[in-house]
Amino acid sequence: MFDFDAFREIWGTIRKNKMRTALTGFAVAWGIFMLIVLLASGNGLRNGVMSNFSGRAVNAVTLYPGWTSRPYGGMPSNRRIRFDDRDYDLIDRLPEREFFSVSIRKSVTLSYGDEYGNWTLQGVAPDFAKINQIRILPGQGRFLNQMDIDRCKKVMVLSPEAARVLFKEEDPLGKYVLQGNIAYRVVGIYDGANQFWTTSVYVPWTTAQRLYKGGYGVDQIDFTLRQVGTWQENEAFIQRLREKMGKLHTFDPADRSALWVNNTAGNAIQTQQIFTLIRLFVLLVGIASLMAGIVGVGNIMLITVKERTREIGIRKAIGATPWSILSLIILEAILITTAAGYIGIVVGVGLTEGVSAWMAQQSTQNMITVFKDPTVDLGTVFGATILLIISGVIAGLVPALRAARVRPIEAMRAE
Amino acid sequence: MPIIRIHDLNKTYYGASPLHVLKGIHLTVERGEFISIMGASGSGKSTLLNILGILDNYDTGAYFLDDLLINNLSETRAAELRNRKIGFVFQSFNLISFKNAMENVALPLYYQGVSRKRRNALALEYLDKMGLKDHADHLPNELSGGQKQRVAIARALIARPQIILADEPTGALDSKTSAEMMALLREINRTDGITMLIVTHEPAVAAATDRIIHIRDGVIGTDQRNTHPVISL
Repeated sequence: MFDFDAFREIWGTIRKNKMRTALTGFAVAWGIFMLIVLLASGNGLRNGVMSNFSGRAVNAVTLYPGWTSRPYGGMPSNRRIRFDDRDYDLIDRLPEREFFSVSIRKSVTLSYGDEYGNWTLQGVAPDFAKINQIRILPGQGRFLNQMDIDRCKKVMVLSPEAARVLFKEEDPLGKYVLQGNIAYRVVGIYDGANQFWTTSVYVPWTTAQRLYKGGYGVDQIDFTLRQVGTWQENEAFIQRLREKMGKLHTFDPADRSALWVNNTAGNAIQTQQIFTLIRLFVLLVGIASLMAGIVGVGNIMLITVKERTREIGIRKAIGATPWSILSLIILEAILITTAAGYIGIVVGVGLTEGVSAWMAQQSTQNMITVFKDPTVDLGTVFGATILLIISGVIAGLVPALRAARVRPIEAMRAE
Repeated sequence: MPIIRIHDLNKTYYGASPLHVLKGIHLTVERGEFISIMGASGSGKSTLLNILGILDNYDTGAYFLDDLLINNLSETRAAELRNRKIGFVFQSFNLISFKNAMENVALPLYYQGVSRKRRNALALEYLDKMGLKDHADHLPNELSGGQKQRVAIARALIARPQIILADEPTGALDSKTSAEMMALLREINRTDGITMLIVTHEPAVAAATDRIIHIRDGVIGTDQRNTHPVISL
């Protein structure tokens, strides 16, 4: 039955019933179009929120050394704790940690030519950028790398503010900035768009340790955890950490002032919940619009078959088998929905990609947006279209089966 | 050998209250007969026509079409038999509105799997016989009632059936066209030898046939030969 002649017969009915074809096609194309637009809007919301708050989704832990507030293990109270290489190794070997950096801080005056200003010089490791979402835009150089650390290079990553104050219109990359009598070569300027503080300039921590701390100790340790986990898991991890550090420096694990622990588990858990909610919302939007499309297509199919009852009766009377009636209706439905679905995809994807490109053009560096890159995954779109076609066919199948079984005489009486 | 043999045919419609429509019909039709079936509405003549046309099933009895027992056939087999052995002509023409005259006539051959070229050529030939060659590309709504009925007759003839079942073929036509139509059916009956069964309630139509069967209350009332058929409508 699926020969060329059958297709020609179907093509004939499609061509000569322009109104019906147009209406069915419009319903399908509109369904797909709306599906794409709604899904893209959902995705845009998700992308926007994620790009703004992705930093919050990470569980970052910061450790500061303090003073003991009680005697422990034969050691007196009011003893100062200092971080050194043993702490570095301890954190470095934690199985839970992902990125890891130590910090050395110093308030400094930097100068270039006649210009000068005060900033916080921070000696860090390359992972510090990943922990704090420090980004460097293309053409703005690079962040510190492992070679800078290993060779204690005197290189510096400027804040956008420092670059503006010191260099005005000049390109700072490759130029030397003076701190006292030490010259640092500028290797990059970080992007301030998503940074809360832009008062820090970054140098290799090994360089800072040698120049400003006599080659011993660090001021702060930052690291992120691979998994966010629950509150309880997080509390247990911090407790274990205190015990390990307590053993290392001989202080009571319950002594809060000996070791300051700052961690973002609360924010991270909350943000991840928001992400989950948004994902759920996008999924719901998709399912709802898909269902609306299915109902629309099914409805049109129902009406189409109803309208053709008489024609079906005539065809049956002159020798059409039930199967040929069924295939006529179903193939026509597939043909129309596929073609219309394709048009819907082209228009929908064209629109969303256009809006996305336009928004990318409009957005400036410092713009904070909750709506970003409103596009859909093509695989999802084709999957949805196929689902719509299949459901349209199934919706058409019920009345088509009834039509194929109908008594020709009764069908022909129907007006 | 008779083309149609019906023995004690019974048919009941099971609705809210069961309706015994055919109550034991006995009928034999020889090849090439030109018969009219008359009866008041509700007498069961339409039901009989549906069963004869394999468009409906019967409950008890036996119906042989061309020596083949027609009973509980599958839809597909019934469709095939309708296509090959029976031509239908209806009161309301029942042409497919979006197909032109030629395509309407060619449709039964499509269901036989005849190639498009051949079936269209054949359809033109049959339209020519009906004097409608010039109207081959007209849609049904561009044709007069008589022209539509001639297209329907061409469609009934194209599969070379053994019988033609006509349900009130003149019901929607004026008397002049009705007379032409009866003459046409008579001629087809004579030249091609096709058995013709015409359901009608008009005595004038029945008077143009060779045998008049009256159905009354689900059984055959009278079955008379008409030795002098006249077409006077």
